[in-house]
Amino acid sequence: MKLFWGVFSSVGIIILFGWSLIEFYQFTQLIASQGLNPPWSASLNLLPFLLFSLFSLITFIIYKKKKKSLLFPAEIEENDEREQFITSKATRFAYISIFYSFPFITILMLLYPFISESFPYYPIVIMLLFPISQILVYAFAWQRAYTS
Amino acid sequence: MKINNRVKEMRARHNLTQEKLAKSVNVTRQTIVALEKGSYTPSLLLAMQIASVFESQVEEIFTIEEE
Repeated sequence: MKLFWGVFSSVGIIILFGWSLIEFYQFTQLIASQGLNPPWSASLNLLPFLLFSLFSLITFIIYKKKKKSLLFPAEIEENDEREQFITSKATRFAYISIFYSFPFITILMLLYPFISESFPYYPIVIMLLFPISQILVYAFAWQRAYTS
Repeated sequence: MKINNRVKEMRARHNLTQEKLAKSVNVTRQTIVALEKGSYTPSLLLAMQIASVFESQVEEIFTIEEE
């Protein structure tokens, strides 16, 4: 699968970014629970942030090797006119999928009141489902057009 | 309407591999494969470049199949 590396790195970065955000969220929650006046004490798990940085560095090196522009997501392949055509088709699919994924993912927020105590960072996960769903729809549409 | 092409035949006549043809018109080999299969219709620019490689006119290589 031609897009495998691109999809893997984009989804991987989003997941690690989300995990880092969750850790930072728990950290700020601990600080907030202690009121506005110092002293505060809180611990922060830096593992996801370190993994996120490492993964980003590896992706950056691969970008440099492949001579790709850092402005574009890794899964964008436009080496010639056919790939540009396939990319525009897949982008169209990903755009249309917003109208289906948006209500569905937003409805998942209705579960939040039931799990807010045990899963307080649920909204972060929901937010990250948006880009992941777009990337997967894009990749599926791209691969289907590429092999047809 | 469908566009038929004689790229495979012309390539064989000129003793060119898909890779060589792809390189000479600045596309990937997969694009030549798709073109020969008829699953991709090239842009006018690419069609003219291919015709130029084969020293032919575009309409000698690409023809419209009327329904």
